[in-house]
This record gives sequence, C-alpha cells and structure tokens, in this order.
Amino acid sequence: MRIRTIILASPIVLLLLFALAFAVSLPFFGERREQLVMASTADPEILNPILSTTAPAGIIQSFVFDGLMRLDENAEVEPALAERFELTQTSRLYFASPQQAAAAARAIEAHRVAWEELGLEAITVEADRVELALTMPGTGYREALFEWLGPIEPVPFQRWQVRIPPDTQWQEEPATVDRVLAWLEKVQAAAPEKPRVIYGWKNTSGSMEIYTIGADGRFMDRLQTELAEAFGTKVTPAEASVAPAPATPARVAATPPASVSTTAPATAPAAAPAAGPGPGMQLSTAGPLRIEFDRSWPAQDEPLIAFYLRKGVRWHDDKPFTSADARYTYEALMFERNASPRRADFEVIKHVQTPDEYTFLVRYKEPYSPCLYSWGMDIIPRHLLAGEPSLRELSAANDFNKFPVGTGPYKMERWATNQYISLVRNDDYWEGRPHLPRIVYRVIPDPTVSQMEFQTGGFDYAGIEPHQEERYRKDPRYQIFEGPSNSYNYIGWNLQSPLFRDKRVRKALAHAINTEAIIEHVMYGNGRPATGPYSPVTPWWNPDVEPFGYDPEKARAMLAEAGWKDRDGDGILDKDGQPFRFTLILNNGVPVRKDIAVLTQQYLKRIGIAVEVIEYEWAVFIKQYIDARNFDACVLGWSMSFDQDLYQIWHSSQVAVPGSLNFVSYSNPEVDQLIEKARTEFNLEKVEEYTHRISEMIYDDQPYCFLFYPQSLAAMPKGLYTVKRPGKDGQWIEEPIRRTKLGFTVYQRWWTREFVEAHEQPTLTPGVQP
Amino acid sequence: MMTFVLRRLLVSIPILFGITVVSFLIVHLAPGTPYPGLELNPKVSPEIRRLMEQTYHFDKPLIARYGLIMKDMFTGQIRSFQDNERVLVKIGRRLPATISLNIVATILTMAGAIPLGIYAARHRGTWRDQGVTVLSFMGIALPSFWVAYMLLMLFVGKMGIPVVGLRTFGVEMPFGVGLMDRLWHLFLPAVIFAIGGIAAQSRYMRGSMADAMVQDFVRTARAKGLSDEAVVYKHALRNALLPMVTIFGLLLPSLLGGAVIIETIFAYPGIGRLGFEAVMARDYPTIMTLNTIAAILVLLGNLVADVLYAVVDPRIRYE
Amino acid sequence: MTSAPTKPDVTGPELQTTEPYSPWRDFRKRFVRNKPAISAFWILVALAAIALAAVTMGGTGAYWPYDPVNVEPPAKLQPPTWSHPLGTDNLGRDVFARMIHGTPISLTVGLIAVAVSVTIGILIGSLAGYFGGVVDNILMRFVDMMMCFPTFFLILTVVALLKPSIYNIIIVIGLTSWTGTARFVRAEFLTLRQRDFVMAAVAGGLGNGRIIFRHILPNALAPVAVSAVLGIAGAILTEASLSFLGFGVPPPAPTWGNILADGKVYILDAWWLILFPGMAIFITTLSFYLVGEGMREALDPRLRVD
Repeated sequence: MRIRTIILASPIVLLLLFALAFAVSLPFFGERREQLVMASTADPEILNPILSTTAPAGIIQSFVFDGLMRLDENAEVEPALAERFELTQTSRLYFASPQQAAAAARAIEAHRVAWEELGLEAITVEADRVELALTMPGTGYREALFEWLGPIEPVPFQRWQVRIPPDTQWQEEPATVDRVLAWLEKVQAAAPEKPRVIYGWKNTSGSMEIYTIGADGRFMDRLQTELAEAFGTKVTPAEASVAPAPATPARVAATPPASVSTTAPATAPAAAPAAGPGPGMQLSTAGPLRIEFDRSWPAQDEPLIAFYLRKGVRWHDDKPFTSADARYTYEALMFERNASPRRADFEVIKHVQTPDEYTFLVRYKEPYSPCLYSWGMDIIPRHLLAGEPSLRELSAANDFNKFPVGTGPYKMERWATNQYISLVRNDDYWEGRPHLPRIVYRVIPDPTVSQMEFQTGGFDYAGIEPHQEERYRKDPRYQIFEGPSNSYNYIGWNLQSPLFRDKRVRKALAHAINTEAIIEHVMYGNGRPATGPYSPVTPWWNPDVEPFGYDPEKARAMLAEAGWKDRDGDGILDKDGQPFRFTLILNNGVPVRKDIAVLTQQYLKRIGIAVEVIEYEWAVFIKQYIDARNFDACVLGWSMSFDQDLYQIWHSSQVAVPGSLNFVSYSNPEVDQLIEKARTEFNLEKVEEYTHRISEMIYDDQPYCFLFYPQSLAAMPKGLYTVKRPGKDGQWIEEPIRRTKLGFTVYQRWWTREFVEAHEQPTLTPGVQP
Repeated sequence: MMTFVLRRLLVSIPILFGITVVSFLIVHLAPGTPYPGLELNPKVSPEIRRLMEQTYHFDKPLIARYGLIMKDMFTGQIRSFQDNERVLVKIGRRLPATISLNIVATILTMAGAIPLGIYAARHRGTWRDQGVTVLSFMGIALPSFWVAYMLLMLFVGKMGIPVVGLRTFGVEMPFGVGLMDRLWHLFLPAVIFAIGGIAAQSRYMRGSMADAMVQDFVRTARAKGLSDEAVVYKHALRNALLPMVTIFGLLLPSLLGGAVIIETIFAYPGIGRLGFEAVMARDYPTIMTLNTIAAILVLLGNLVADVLYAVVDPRIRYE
Repeated sequence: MTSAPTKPDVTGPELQTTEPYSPWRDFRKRFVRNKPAISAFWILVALAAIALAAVTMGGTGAYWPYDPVNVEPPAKLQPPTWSHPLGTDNLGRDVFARMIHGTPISLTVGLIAVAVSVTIGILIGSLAGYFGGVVDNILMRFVDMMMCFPTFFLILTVVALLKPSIYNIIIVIGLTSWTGTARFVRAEFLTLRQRDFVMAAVAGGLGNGRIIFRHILPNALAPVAVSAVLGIAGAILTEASLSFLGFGVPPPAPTWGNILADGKVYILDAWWLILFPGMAIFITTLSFYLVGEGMREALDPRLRVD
C-alpha cells in the first residue's frame, strides 16, 4: 500500500525534517561575533540625509556620515568635519542721504574706544549706507550704536513676502522667476519715489521675498497690482477650490486669523512700521497674488559663518572631502526637485562661498542663532551625485539612496531590505579607527516580539518601556541606562474653543489633573513634572518654575470663579446653559498617550467635566483634526531639538499659517518678542535669560497642560561594551557606557568589547591628518 | 479551450480596470498625506509640504493623477513614495521570502489535510468524524496572531530559541547548516498558516472523498472483493484528489492574502508586510500596485484552476 | 443543490410516526443529534445572556462590583485573584468586567456586519439570478471584481484611512464579505427560476418584486442562514485582527480584540491580558462555526448519515 504509506508518513516525515533542522542549527544559536547589533521596528527606506525623515535613517546616517559640526556629550556644538569655525557679521545701515550716512559714520567713529565692547571692528561708508564689520553676530550692538547716532535715524530695512497661490501656472515655469525679477527692476525705475529694492528671489515654491529700503505701502500696493497684471492670464483663481490640494486659499480663510484681525489695517499703511513685529499686515486681498509686509529692521544684519574644513578627510570611496562637498550639500538641500524636508533651517542663508578647497563661507540673510546646530547636517559627496536630475530621481546605476557613501566611522556593507543593515568600520576614519568591526541594525516590526528577541540575545541593546524597568532591574543579566530625554508630553487646549479661552479655566485644569499620579502609574515613576516648553537637559529650561500640583478642591473653586458650576445637578459643570463637555483626541498606537487620556478623563470626571476620548490613526489625526484646528483638546508630545528656537510652535504669527505647529492658537505679544530675541541672539547667557522668561510666561498661560519630561530607559547585557574615545586633550579616555544628554548613543562609534586587545588600539591622530 | 481562455482573459480587462479605479479612489479620497514623519516636525514648514505635494503630483486633479499612476504602472515605472524605488523591484525583493513560506505552508497543509480528510470520510457519521470536524473548526476559529503570540511565548520567552526573521541572526553557519536554520525559521509561521489551512482543506477533502466513496466504480471495486484499504487509497482517493488540484490555482492569490499579521509578528520580510507598511506610510503607488497584482493573481488563479480541472478530468470541456 | 428537503426521509426511524411532515422539526431533530453543534449552541445562548446582562448593567454593577472603564492605577497589573478573577490591566481596570462588557460589542460587530453583508448579498444575488442576461452579467462582473481584492488588506486600508469607529468597521467588514452570499443566492435563483411554482407565478402576472421576495427567496433562505452564522465568526475574527493591528473599535469601549491588543506590550509581565480575551474570541468563533456547520448538515440531505 504505497500510496497509503506516503500519505500517512508525509506529516511525520515533515515534522521530523523540521526537528532535524532545529537540531542541526541548535549548536550555532547564541554564538555571536564581535559586533554591535541594534534593532528597530522600521526599515529606514531611504538613506540620504537630504531626503530621509525616519528615526532609523537618522541612526544609520550618524554612522555613515559626518556633519561640519556635531553635538558633544553636553549637547554643545563642537567641530567635526570642520576643524574650526568663525562667526562674524556684516551690518548695513541705510540713510536718507549720503550726507546723513557720513554724519552717522562720524558719530560712530567718535566712539572708537567702545567698539571692542560691541564687537565692532571696522566701518566703511559708501554713498548713503554705512557698513559695519562685527566680530559677533546678532543685534546686540544696536542699542549702544543708535545711542551714538542720536537724532540721525536710519531708513528701515524691510522684507515683503510675495504670495503666489500654489495653483497658478507659476510652478511649472521656473523662468517666470526671472520675469518677476525683471519686473521688479522696471517698476522700481518707473516709481516716482525711487524706492530701493535690494534683492528678491524665489524662496520656496510659490513664494518670493523682496527686500526693500524705505518702500512705503503705496509703492508695494502698486507693485502688487502690476505684478498680478503681469501674470495676467496665468492666474487662474477659479480652479482653486476644485483642486484638492490641502493648502487651498479656501482653507486659509477657514482658519480664523487671530493675529491678523487685530493688526491688519484695511488699507495700505502710509509708511511701513518701524522695527518690531508686525506679522500679517497685508496690503490688499484683491487678486490671488499678494504682497504682504513681513517685517522690518533698523539695519540689515548679515551674519557669516566661516568653516575651516579638516584636511585629509576621505570619502569611503577614497576621494578627498573638500568644500565643494559642503557647498553641494547646501545646494542639494535647496534644490526644489529634491523637496528636502530639512530645508527650513537653510532658507535663512543668503549664499554660500568656497574661496578654496578647505574654506566654506555661509552668509545669512538675518541673525539666526540656531544656525550652528543646523550644520550638524550630514555632508554628502558631490562627486557621486552632481549631475543627477534630482536626488529623488537618481539614474538607474546610482544606488546612493540605498548604499550611501559618507566620511563617517562606519561604511555601508549590506542592506537586506526589512531584515537588517550591516555597516563595517572605516579603517581610515579621520578621528581614528573604530574598535568594533561591524555594526548591524535589525528590523523587527512588532515591539513585543522585539522584546522577546532581545531577551534571547538577538540584539545588544534596547530601549525599554517604563513598565519593564523593574523586571530588567531584577534580572542580573542586564544593566539599565536612564536619563532625562529632551522631550515632554502634554495635553494641548484649543484656545479657539470657548471652553479654554479663559486662562482661569486652564489653570484650574492644571490643578485637576494629577500629573504626579500619571508619572507614577503610567510611567512607573520614570519622569518628572513638566514646567514649560523646554526640557531640563537644555540650559533653556527654567529651574525656578514650580509645577501647579494636584489640588482638585482648588480646581473646583477656580472653575466656580470662572462661572462653571453644576446648576442643573447632573454632575457636570455648566455655564450659560452649556455643560462642560469636550473631546480629547489622540493618535492610536501609543499606549502611554492612551493611558494619559483615560486617566485625564477620570480626573476631570471627578470635578464635573465630561471628557470623551477618541483615537485616530496618525495621518488622519494630523490632517483632519490638528492641522484643521478641529479639536477641543489633544494628547501629544514634543521631541525637541537642542536649539532654543520656539518660533514654529509658540509664535503668534504661526496661528494663521495653515498646517503650522501653533495649532492651539497661542498668542502672547510679549512671548512673541522674547522668541524673536532668543532666535537672533548669539550670546548664550542672554538667550538663557530670554528662554527662562519664556518658560515662565508660557507655563503661567497654560496653553498646554504640561505633563511630564519622560525619563528614557535602555537596557543592555551586563559588561558587554565600554567606550574608548579620544578626549579633547589628545588622550584616549576609557570609561563605561553612560547616558549623556544626547542619550547614551553619543559615543557609539567608540564602543568596544572588553576583550579588544592592546595592539588593536588605533593610534590617535588628533586634529588633522592620519 | 483556447477560445475559452481568450474569452476569460478579455472579460478580465474591465474587471482589472474597475479594480484600479476602486483602489485608486479608496487611497486618494482618504485623508492623510504620503510623507510620513513630516507632520508636526518643527523644521518642516508648510511651504516644504507644498513642495512635496507637487513632487508627488498631489496638486493635480484626481483624473490626471489616476492617469499618471496608470501610465507608470503599466510601463513598470511606478515608484514608491517612501524611497522612490520602483515598486516592482520592491515587490520582487520580497517575493522569495513569501514564496518559500507559502510553499512550505502548502506542503504542511496538504500533508495534514489529506490524511485527516480521508480519516473523517472513512468514519463518516461516527464520533471520530465529529471529532475531526470540531478539531478543524478549532483550527479555523483560532485567531492566528494569538496563536503566534502563544507560540512565541513558549519558544522564545520560555525556551530562548530564536525563531524570528529569515534566519538566526549574527551567526556564521556552514552552508548546509544555514539552510537548515532557514528551514527552522520557516517552521512556526508555516505551522500557523497550516493550522487554518489544514482545517479548511480537510473539510474539503472529506467532502470530495465522501462523494467519491459512494460512486459506482468504488462500489464495483468493493464488490470485486478488494480490500478496504485498496478501495479507499487506490480508487476513491484518486478521484477525490481531482478537485484538490484546483487548490493549486487558488494558491496564487494567497501569496498576498492573510500574511500581513504573521509576517509582521515573525519579522518575515514578505509581501504582506510590504502591503501593511505601504498602508501605514500612505504609499499609494505600492498599495495600488499590490492591489492590482493581487487581482491579476486571483483572475489567473481561477483560470489556471479551471484549466487544470479540465486537464485532469476529461469529462469537462470548455466551449 | 436543493436547500430544503422536499420529501420526508423515510430511513429515519423517528419519522415513521403519523405526525405530519414538518421541515422545521426535521431540521431540529437532526441538529439536536449533532452533539458539538448543540453544545456550541448552548454556549452561544450563554454568551447572549452575558451580553444582555452587560447591557442592562449599564455603567456599573448590579451583578459585578467593578466598572469596566473605572481606572484604579494603584491596583494595576494584578494577576488573577478572587476579587479580580481575570486580573487587572495596566490602569487597574478589572479585566473580567471589561470582558463582560466587551461581549455585547464583539457580538454586535459580528451580527450587524453579517446583516449588512447578507442584505447586499441577497439583493445582488437575487437580482442577478432572477433577471439573468445583461443584469446578471454586469452584477457578476462586479462580484468578480470584489472577489479579486485581497479582502483583509482592503479592509485594513479602508479602516486605517478612515476615522476608526465601530460603525466604519462594521460597514467595511459587511461591504467586503457579501460576494459569497451573492453567488449562491444567484445559483439558487437560477434553479428555482425554472421551477413550476415560479413559472406559475410569472404566468399569473405577479410583479417581479413579489415573485422574488414572496416566492423564490423564502426557498433560498436556508443556506443563507448557514453562511450568515459562519460569517459572524469570520467578522468577529476580522475585528480582533484589526484591533490587534491597532485599527479596532476605539476606546473607551472594551472589545475582546482591543483588550488583547492593549495587553500585548505586557506579554512578559501580565499573561492574563493575552490569554483570556484570546480564549473568549476562540470559543465564540468556534461556537458560531460549529452551529453553522450543524445547521448545514441538518439542512443538506446529501450529508445525512446513512
């Protein structure tokens, strides 16, 4: 009975085969090579620093590439590919006439003794302008300087935004930019007032900046009309509402322009206002093309960073690294067809120059103090990429986006899509040879499975969830690393909602939500109460702000004071017949946020507020609710960068910008000013002063219920790795792995197994050349 | 036969067209943008988002976008939003993992389902038959992700045996051992697939076996005095297996089917996971291509099943 | 492929009584004889009772001291004890209470989704089968098209892209699972259309609607009922899978699927959050399958024991 035997035996044979497979491979399980294995839940998809947006890409790129600068363990900027850098500034003051300019120059000359204090090095006069060479960028020099000038007032330097709706033909014809520029010149020549247009260019798609000196509203209004006419048939406003593009003009109108309504005059201002913010002052709303006054300054300040690049650095393919690569990186960031998500930090750049192979000069349009941080940007090799139509559409033979070539401590070895990426050490790394021969990055999509895989030794270190901490601490096999992270969790109140417009109500809510209990039970104690928009790992955080504290009685009293009482006895507070009821929204898939929402629901129920919790999928959550300002309250968190700039999140000018990050519509003129000061100030002490004040004010306003700064946790098998890194004084430092402000990965390129032998130690080549 | 195949292929064209339209509409009318990670990033200004929208033609009217996508799809040039790689290349890279998993799972399924089906058919109406019925429904009713978690808790959590991924990680193995290791890593996902598969196929096998056993030629064989074994395994089985060949045609579409969860749990780089990741990342070109390919596979699979059926059973003729 | 038995089965000893033949009694007798099916049936009755109790209980408990949504953080992640027979979850909610309150929701998802799919299936199947010709052709091509979609993937896409609500999930499951019903309703109609009583009705000048719904449909309902019962199990499983991937019924409503999904990060710390909801899903779907299968066997004379 052959058939019968086959049929009955086949399942048994199969199972035996699997058993055999298991038995054969069993002796090999658990054997590990000398390498560092990491894991993540997602594949990086693309490894091009210009294009990538995912966290896994960032980690791998940090091994493959270097920036001109980088952050050291204290989160301070230190030179990397650039050996050193210099910051200077050229400032220009414009005057009504050459005579006035000469008088101003004389006044400044008269105070030569005080120049050094201001960082002023030299002045030159040319026609009606005075040019200052400053050793320190920023606007700090102005106060003293204007005192010297006395009654001689400079003409304001202004910026205007030309807004061209995205659905005009404009985008398809880049040549039109030139047409507009030609236009500017023509209109300028014809204008009776002879205003001076300094320059104008296409900034991002559909938007252009015009810088002028002393142009008044009438001139700009005319310019706008003529510009719109020049576009003529090209402007097709009727189709605007048909296109489903998210940023249609209709949508702009739908967002109540909170700040505009208070400041925008219906007619053109007779003269542009003096220094100080005046966002959103529009001249006319007629026509789809608009010129909007952006802002003005009493002087034109243009900082300059001079990077002096390290000599002898080589790309992984052995070609030398030069300033042309740095320049190419900037050009790639700005090239429209690359549509780089990292572009924003570089838009304030006026131009870059490369006087020689190892000098890279960056000129800024205005003082922007976080600019140094932005040069942590990974530098990409020009010789491999120049000539491509765009980085998004590389020619078939070029696999740079999947197999990047950098200058970093590790080189790409293999990318097995959605399984792992392996990197091998770069023996010629400019800082010295890394110790571990290989770094592997695994992809395990399910976090729970990843946890199990970590416990079987499938990878070497893992971020762990708060609730797992106790188990790992008890387990003698593991060591735990912890430290505050540069982030915070919060509940955002939509300040456009009548419920939350009253500051007393928001403060009452802060007392009603038991932050301490949330930290204790959701984070298992791994966090500290948040007291503002900066994390304690940065110097910007204000240590003197005290958290509100849990006090439901006080909350009830404050709500009663604000008019919220339970008049109809249904257990829910009401005011003017309206019950205090709202929805709290969050994105799905983040257990911590879900727990926060559920606990908040309970805490508020206790003081008579009915909360409905709704979870949305992330993209829907952002697009339909957050971006559209279509929510009452939301649970979210910010992961911050180390710079001090809060413009995008808290500046009132962002309220009206569709899709911007000030989605709670926070507006406080004093905070606006401080934010602007903080982002133009290069003196760190002063920046701290501003940011501490900002923290205090925002915390007192309670646009968010600031919850906590989470403590981040990671586990690693005991005694596996140490750090052996070059110190600043040229000595090798050997130390256990510890957590720094940047997390504990900051010296990962210098990780070493304990058993690395003496002769394998790389010779240190401090500074320049190996 | 040829005309039958041709006619079927012709009928498939409007169906395919409908599928592309429906899947296009589903993904494009839904909210969300195709550039994950850009939302709520303080460094990404609205202008940049607008720029991205242009790059991906999101500023064009719906019909134009459909046209662009279809053109790209049928020239094979359609590219993923995530990394701008050609979708077909992406799919091709995932294919080996998916196919090997499917083959192993199918073999396991058949090896389990055929004996079970025969057993149940031979003991029709007895408690044994009912036992098999209950067992097989248990197999269908088990939530596969739950079984996967339970098995993982056992193998990885308790015993510390590596089962995740294509092979044991970070270990150098001689070639033969490496192969065995890969086979071992196929075991759990294939078993989980097979649990459901065995359940369904054994029901099917039982039915066709039962049908075969009451047919005249089987009765004749029995009357000739052949042993019960011979009757069942020689005469009846051959006929009962006929309808099972159609299963091979229907296996094609399962390449993409329910593998999403198992592939995600076992970190198995197959096509189901590609689809899931594409949905999460709003990678419309990949979603649409996968839908279309799945549809083509179903249509082809049905056709192959019908043709196979005609080939093995001469009584069936297609006009 | 007839559905209802047309002549009494003379081989059954119990049918040799003098009682008049009743298909319903015939069905019931055969169903009761099927032990797995009848036990599964009683399990479903018990589940329905639990669901009913949960609904009447409202927020908190006449029958059980713990509220399914009331958090008690200090009591988090407690293993099963006498006061919390199924333990507590990460916010200290009683898992037993949550499971009980999840029962009506999980059952509702299955029932309504199947109601939607059966309605669509009957409508399309009967139209195609009754009218035939062009109508049949167009409708069947549409059915073919729907069958070509990878169903779970399609559901996942729609649910992930839409607002996750219990209604969306129900409707999407319903909209994607009607093709089977439509196909065999059509097949039934094609056969029944040729029967004398239908011919007579047509000749008698009755309206199409009346013929479809009064004369043909009742004769085609039995297999629809079977597939509906089987479909409920499928729908419950689909909902659980969606929850597992994070696209299930949104909170605070507890369903078995999202209790399990919420618990999965605690798999190594709190096994009870995984085991019990999984068991509940398993037992429920199994019961529906067994009842469905029992019904099918009781209805289909060919499968009758000889």
